[in-house]
Amino acid sequence: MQKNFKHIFSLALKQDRLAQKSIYEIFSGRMLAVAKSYVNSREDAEDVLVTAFCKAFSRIGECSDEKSFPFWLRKIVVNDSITFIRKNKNILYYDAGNVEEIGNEILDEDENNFPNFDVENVLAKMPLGYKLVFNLYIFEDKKHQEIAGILNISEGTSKSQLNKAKKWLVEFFNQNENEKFIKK
Amino acid sequence: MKNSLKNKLKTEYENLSEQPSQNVWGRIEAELENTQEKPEIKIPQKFSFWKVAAVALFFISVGLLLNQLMNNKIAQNEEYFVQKENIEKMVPEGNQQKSVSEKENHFQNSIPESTKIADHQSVNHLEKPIRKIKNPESETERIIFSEKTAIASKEDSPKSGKIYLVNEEKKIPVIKEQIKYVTAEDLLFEREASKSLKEQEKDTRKLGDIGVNIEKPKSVKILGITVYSEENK
Repeated sequence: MQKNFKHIFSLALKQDRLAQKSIYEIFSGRMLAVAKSYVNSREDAEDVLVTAFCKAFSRIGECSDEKSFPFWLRKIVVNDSITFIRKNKNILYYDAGNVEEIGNEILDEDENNFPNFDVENVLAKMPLGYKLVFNLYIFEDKKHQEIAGILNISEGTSKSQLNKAKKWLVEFFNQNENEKFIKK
Repeated sequence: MKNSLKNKLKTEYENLSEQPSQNVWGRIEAELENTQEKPEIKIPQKFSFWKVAAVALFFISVGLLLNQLMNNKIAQNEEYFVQKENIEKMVPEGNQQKSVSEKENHFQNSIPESTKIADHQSVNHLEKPIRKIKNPESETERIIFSEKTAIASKEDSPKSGKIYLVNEEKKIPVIKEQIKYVTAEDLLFEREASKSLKEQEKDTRKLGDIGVNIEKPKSVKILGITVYSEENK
């Protein structure tokens, strides 16, 4: 499989259309999910996917090797998703100043406490403002300083947005529990 | 790795996958074709030609300017031309040797110390004369050299009776003060000046004399009273 991808990658470097299509088929599903986790709608995510793949294929020479290609492509998708949100959705962050990050109690809780947990549902319902910081912090393993640089906000704002996202998660799970209890 | 909510979120997120619409690849392909066509637009050849021509013109003009400046500098600082014909006319046959040695002395004095060494070296280069001419009147042997900077050495010329002359056609630049010749304009100006001086000497007019001749009246009467009359004098 790896040998095969190496060959495909080498062909894609020469702008071979078939190789590019093969790469698209391998990564498009995963990248669409990543884009959708940021922009929420499927149509917008597909727009992001088009620009991200075009960028990746035209600049494939900048990617060091076939092993780092998935990470490199994902970085492009995330950046393009953020650019898309900036262009098409108005998000206003207010500068929160020096904010201390609240504890990760909710995130450190045992997963067994959340049966029938659906991450897609959580991300679809989470407000966009929190979600950008939450996604970058939890899924892309970015630090607050890096998030501040990417979103052009202060470090304090990044921390306060993450705090809000955590609080929202607690409320979301409590609400789910209540709904289940009511159903029972 | 503990089974926290964070890890569950991560693993579930990494497993997310969704099949895109059928037309997405078509859009990517079309976009790629458009972007690949764009870099093929080349700058017209005429533009690069003009660029090269402009650069060449610039260098040529700079070169000419520098050449002109250098020539002016040489003409100002190093002008000393020795010609065969001038020497023959100006120097009598008997004094030819003397005059040449005098010129040498003058030349040696006029050039700075630093250049003397170089000139002496240039004399040493005068080993192979191109041709020898015998002048029947002066009975002196003239040796013509092809070297531009040929100068007769002090020691050789009086003893051997040979006069080293410089190349007939070429001029030798030597450091000397610039000779000022009287020009025709100067002569004309001097002539005009002397003329005006002579005219000034002849002029007998006085200050305040406007040059209008008024006849002296014989008598002057004011209100019937004779104020002035020549007869009363």
